[in-house]
Amino acid sequence: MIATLVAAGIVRQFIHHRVDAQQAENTALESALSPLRRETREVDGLVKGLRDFLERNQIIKVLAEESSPAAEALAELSRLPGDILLTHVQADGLQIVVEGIARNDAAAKRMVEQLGAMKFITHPRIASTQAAPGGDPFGSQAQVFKVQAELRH
Amino acid sequence: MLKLLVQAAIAAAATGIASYFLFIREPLERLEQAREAHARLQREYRALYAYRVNFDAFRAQIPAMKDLRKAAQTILPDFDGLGAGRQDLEDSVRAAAKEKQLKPPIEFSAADWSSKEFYYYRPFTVRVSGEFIKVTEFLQLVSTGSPQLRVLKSASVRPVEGRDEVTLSLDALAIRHRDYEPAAVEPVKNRRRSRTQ
Repeated sequence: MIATLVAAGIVRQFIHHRVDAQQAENTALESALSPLRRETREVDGLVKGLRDFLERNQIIKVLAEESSPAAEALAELSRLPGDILLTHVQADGLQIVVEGIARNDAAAKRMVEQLGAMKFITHPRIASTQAAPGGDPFGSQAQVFKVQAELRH
Repeated sequence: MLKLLVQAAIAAAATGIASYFLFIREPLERLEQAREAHARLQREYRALYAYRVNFDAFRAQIPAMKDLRKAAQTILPDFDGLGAGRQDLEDSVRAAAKEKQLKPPIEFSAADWSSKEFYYYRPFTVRVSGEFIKVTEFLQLVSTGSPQLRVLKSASVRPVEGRDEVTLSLDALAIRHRDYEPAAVEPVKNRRRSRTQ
């Protein structure tokens, strides 16, 4: 019994030593960690700012792509020659419909070629053409047209 | 003799058990706790040390990052409440019309804010008349040329009968940033992934 008690005492002492050694190591680690923690807090603020920027930037990019570049397309349409008269332009998202009167069939075809070479308008196609009503200022060969196209950024 | 041996064994076992509970268990638990704390501190140290490698690079980016973030906050400002922003929006539209010398009436209407996963949007419509070029410039000012993000949904231009002018009707969205928890992004990403597959 006494031997058991003595052995228990020795084991207890040994464990105490191990605990002390472990706690000393932990204290050393804590001291090494404190400057790292301080620096990390500073950088964490930066990382938070960076995340915020990346989030916003992603939303901006996605939504900017969804926005119709109608203003830019209209600016391009304003450069069409004088033998084209626009009567209605409707842009819905990335689709555009241009209605108007051309001096003649050749002028309408030239216009489609010009539209195809524009930066913000692509794939123009004549959806319909028909002779303009009599008395049109462009004369008897005037054509009422409707052109469909896509818009791009 | 055997009885004595059994009694001695029982006494030794009982003493051993009692000694464990009296002298060993408590320091052993403290040792276990100290080891767990050590393992935790080591993990933290390794993680922070690895993280520290990038500190200088991060610090070097501070000025550029601040400018970029400021620009992003201007383009996509924070949402500041359901009641906010309507008058500012109308004022900016009217200021753009004034800048392009478009004469009244300028018809403006705006709906309430609605929200999507990552942003708030307020639909608004404008109807204005003027010279074709001025109207086009106005459209650019209130859509892609606006300092704040706007999404132009549709625009229609028709000549005004009897005048060398056109009427522009536009339908657009004003946008505000919506804070979200990163965990909320996952279902959205998954939905998009499944749509694209």
